[in-house]
Amino acid sequence: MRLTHAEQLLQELGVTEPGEIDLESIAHYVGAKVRFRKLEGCEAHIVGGADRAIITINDRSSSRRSRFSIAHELGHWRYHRGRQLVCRVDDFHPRTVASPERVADSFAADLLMPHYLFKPLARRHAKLTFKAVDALAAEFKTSRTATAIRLVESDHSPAVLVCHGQKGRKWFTRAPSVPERWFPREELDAQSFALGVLFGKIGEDAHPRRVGADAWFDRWDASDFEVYEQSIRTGDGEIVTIVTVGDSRMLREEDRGYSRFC
Amino acid sequence: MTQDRKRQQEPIRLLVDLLAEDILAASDAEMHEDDDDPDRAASDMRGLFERALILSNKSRLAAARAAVAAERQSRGATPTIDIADARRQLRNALTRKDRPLTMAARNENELSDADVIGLVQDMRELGILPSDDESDGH
Repeated sequence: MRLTHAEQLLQELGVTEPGEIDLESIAHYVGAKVRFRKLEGCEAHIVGGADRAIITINDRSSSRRSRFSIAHELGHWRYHRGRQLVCRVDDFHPRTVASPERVADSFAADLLMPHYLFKPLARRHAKLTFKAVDALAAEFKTSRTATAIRLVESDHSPAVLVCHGQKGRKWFTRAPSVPERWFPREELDAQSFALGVLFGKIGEDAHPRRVGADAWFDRWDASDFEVYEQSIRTGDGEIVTIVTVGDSRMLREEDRGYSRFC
Repeated sequence: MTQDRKRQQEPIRLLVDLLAEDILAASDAEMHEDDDDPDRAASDMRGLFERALILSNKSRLAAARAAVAAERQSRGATPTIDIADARRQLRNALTRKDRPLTMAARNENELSDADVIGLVQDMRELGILPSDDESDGH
């Protein structure tokens, strides 16, 4: 598999374990200093000249959040040198619109969780659950959400990751093996356990629970299948759910595969 | 990469080069001396070479780590800056087109006074803005 720029940088520095991803040292290697001080109204920023830069991180941020911010600013330093951008480092989530922020986020994900280290460690976990997410997040010192996105997008298992707030779906991403016709519902369905987790009626799911696929996907044939869902709270009034496809017929290409009429 | 960093890595690079030369100079018979399986011998050599290269690359990270620690110790106090002056300097720096400037931050008018002063201090340190002493004369 072809290495990304962030992964090439890590290999140039001989990084062979997640614990060696020392962001301040990596920043120094590419000409950037990292400073921590109180910032008001943003998590981080970068200012640089021709070959030197200073990255400033809000000293009140959590250590995992800071790591993401440094990696994100290094993405700007790698791809947007000489440009002035209005930047708002948000929590990492899949962005649909191509933008410098998406480029910086993607660089950050590759720097913090390079595929050549992430995939072998992810394979140690048989099931895609938040237990696996938490174990990997601890190894890579990344947030639960960023790690869950990485795990789903690395096609560990056929799954969709969906984030909901009280006003509906905020974002989602799917494993490459899940066909695009499985598009998650905008609103949480009353059948889903996630609804109870979001509104605090039930606690976070310790294990995935089986539910009809039509609770998650608004398609004519969804009621023929079942999926597994597991939700966690990620913020005030926000949950993230792993929806795992358990029926291989859902993964077939529509034209050649299963149809309820055949 | 700085000259210092290059010098620090020189001995390991020489070792890697010597190892590579050794492998390339060896005859087929020498390569097979201790092992009759040429594929296994090649794989062992490749492994040895890769390990030496990784070791060499790790020295870059170690050098960067040492430099970060040294920089942390040598950091001095920063001079105070008048906020009106700092905002004016920042606006000027953002509109100048004669030197490369990389910046990913909020708009100047969205930044707090403390954030503006921090940015101006960073720009002075990077030579994007003249230092306090230099600007006094203007």
